[in-house]
Amino acid sequence: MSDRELVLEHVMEPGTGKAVPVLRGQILRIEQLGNGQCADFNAFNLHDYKEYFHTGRTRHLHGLFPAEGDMLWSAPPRERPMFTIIRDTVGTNDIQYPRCTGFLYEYQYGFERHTNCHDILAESIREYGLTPDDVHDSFNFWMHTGVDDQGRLYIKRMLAKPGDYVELIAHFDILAVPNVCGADIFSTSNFELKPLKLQVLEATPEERERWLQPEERQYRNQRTPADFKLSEIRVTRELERDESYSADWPVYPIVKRPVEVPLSEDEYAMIEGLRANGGFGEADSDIVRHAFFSWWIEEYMRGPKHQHAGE
Amino acid sequence: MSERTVTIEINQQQEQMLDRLVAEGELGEDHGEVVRAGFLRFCEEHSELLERGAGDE
Repeated sequence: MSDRELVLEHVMEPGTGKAVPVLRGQILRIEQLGNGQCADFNAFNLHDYKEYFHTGRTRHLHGLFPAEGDMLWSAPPRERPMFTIIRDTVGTNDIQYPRCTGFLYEYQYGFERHTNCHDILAESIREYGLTPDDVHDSFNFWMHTGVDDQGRLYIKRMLAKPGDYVELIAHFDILAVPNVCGADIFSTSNFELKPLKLQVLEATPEERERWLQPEERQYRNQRTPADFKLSEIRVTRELERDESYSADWPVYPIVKRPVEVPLSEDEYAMIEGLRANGGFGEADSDIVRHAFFSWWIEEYMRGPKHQHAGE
Repeated sequence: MSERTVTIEINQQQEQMLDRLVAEGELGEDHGEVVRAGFLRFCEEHSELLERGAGDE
């Protein structure tokens, strides 16, 4: 990829982060300089900071451990791909754990002052006029995590080595904010803080062709402030009720209608089978509805299905 | 063939989905036929659930 033009290069030392614009079609490259360092990561629309990265939608669409080929999505109601991970030489990333904070180190370990991702991210985005309240849940590059059989999260030893890297191509103009994770008393970065190298590079025409959609928005429900009934950003902290408010729900009222489903005796016996299996409800109508919609999800739904039949 | 009828309730959004399936023309000509067809396909594709259920009895 030597034909990529270098736009910016910066080494993040331990205890620091960097807010860096990455324009549509540019690539953010983060590289390990030491033996395994987690990079927490925030991202904002460069032209509208209210659109920012969302772990929840990313987790929903790509699972608990996004890696090469997956995308980082912005929060509802914007919900656009911000970046695609076009290269990931390790493949262990986390979006379950929230960023570490000053509170966490004080509450759990008794440190009144300790490097922590929230404060580092907050200091990084201050360069662009954003506040500590604007820091959001992070994408945690290289953080090697798991979920035990009780549903509890745990942190494993970092696998990244010097020279490992991730590359993300921007789908629109973004303020990207990586930081050197401040956790030196978890195994997140193998109990040691190390620097990380950042580069911003121009994607080649071939890379733009491969990864970028022609339009930055593909769906009507990837909303913008122009779609909002109230689009101004508040400038006061106190919340006061709007006395003129009258609810205008998107779909309301919800009206139900009966559908009669004819079944032969043999077909009806299938209801009994599903009832005996469990996981479909008790009433005949519940079982038919659950089975029908489960079929529809398997047949028509785009993306991960998020259900196991009969459980 | 004796018939039994199971009545399910759907809302206007689910009705749109059934309308699309009816328009595709593959599963049936009305909502009831489409739901029946989808239900049967689910049972066919997950026959292990029916067998497991039968085995539990």
